[in-house]
Amino acid sequence: MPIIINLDMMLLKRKMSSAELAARIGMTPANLSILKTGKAKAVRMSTMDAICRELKCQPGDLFEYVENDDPWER
Amino acid sequence: MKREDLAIPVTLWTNRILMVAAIASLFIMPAIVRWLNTVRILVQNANIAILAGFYACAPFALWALWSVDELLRRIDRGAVFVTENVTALRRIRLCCCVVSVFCIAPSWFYPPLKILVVIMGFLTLMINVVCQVMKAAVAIREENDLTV
Repeated sequence: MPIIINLDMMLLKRKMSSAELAARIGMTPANLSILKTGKAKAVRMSTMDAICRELKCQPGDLFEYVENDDPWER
Repeated sequence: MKREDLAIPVTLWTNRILMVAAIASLFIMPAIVRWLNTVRILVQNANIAILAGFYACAPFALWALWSVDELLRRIDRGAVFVTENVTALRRIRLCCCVVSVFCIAPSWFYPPLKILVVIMGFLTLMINVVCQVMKAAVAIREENDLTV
């Protein structure tokens, strides 16, 4: 998928672990891992709200669109 | 226990009884065909054709019943919208289609079998629809599981 999730980067910037974020936003670490690894097919607005609130960032800081040049990946 | 809770166990056990009956029919079918011949329901000397059709259909019928058993056991465990159930439905569809085709020739010797050809053909179409619905449901469940 050409949407890249920069959650790891934001966690590093805020010096926060995945487990801590998961606990703060009331999400299971397994679900957060789905989001971090890019396996997620959709993100709820409430989840976005909680992540942005805890990481003090904008949704745009977490997601990035990258043009996919590989025809096999399209 | 609610009536809905009984639906799967009742179907599961009915299917198992059918499986036992199908296995038993493998042994008693020659006698049934001989009897049909004596009461002159069959076209003369059609025993071989009827039995050939029956024994050609039998493995597919048993495979379909076994697949139904697997499907029902999974549903009973709570695994309803899973890929394995789509595969089981595909197998059942294939078996119904094969039985329908294999019954065409024997139905010429024993006309009531034409009803079985039509029923199995229609069942193939219906199971195909259920299979497509199940496939779509699996996709929706997967999407739901991957929504965070």
